[in-house]
Amino acid sequence: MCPTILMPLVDFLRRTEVPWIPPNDGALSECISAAVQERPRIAHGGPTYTQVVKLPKDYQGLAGSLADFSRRHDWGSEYGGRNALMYLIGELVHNVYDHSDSSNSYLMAHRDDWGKDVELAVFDDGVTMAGSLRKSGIVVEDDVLAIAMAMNGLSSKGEGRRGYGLRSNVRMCVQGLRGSVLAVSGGGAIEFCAFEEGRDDVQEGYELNDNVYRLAGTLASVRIPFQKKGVNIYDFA
Amino acid sequence: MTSPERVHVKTILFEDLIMRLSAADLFEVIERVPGDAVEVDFEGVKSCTRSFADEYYMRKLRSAKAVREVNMPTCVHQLLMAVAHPGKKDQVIDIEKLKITVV
Repeated sequence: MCPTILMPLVDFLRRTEVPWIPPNDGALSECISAAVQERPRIAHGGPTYTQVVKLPKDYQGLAGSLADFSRRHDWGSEYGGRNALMYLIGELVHNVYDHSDSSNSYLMAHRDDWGKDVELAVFDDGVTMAGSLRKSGIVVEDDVLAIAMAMNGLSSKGEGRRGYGLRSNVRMCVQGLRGSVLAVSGGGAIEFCAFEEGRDDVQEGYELNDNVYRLAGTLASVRIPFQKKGVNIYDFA
Repeated sequence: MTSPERVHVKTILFEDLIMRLSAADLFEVIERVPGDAVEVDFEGVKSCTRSFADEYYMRKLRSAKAVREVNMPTCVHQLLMAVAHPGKKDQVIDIEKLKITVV
């Protein structure tokens, strides 16, 4: 089960305490249990289900947590290198602390040896992108537009110097690493995928109109194909 | 003439520089250093986000101290150059052409 699905699920289970039936897969069951109970995973053989990392409330402990996380993923040696991986995670997580006003936030990555890619996601239960913009006096019509404007560099912090983090991450993932980015926030979602050479990259938006589908927070997920070559993040920063 | 005091980034923060608030913390240390000049030693730093670099750059501009960087890795140097000369924010998402599906 990929981080994109798992992290909002874990947050829902933890928040609502609704009874749940564990999946047959022991490793996946342990992964979900550990995340819901906020404890370290017991090591388990089988597919590479990694731990859902709860981000610390205090930003001062964050760098160490992210370093431990990255070390478990071999410092991104197959995903563009350490600098790219820490830049990617760092900017995604930074946005959580800076904008979300969340109570809980999580980070997870899952390496897929069959699909030859890694999926990495950050989830928070905060005010959503539109909510963050509204708090700073920027009224955006809907959640899809809020996500698009955030990806284009609009920041709730207002000054012209801000807003480059998410934008540079999206560019690096899609144009640099030829991967894909999915951002879901409240009632909106945008997916931006690299396509094969010679064809335009694909951008699609989704309105999650029914309350059943609305996300109580923001999820930013990237999928990056394995690659030996490092990426020069400065081309996208 | 005395040498300027040296502040070691990796000791105060970490080898991965991520948060704006961390750059602010670094400058709180820098501002408390006696004297008018400070050397900021980036030895051992392995990665940097643009957010950190931007906050560092803005704090350095506002500081009354003469701040000089030493042992700066490429990752920090190039990001400081990028934030010193921020480019135009070209559109990443083409909002006009974005196809929206109602779920």
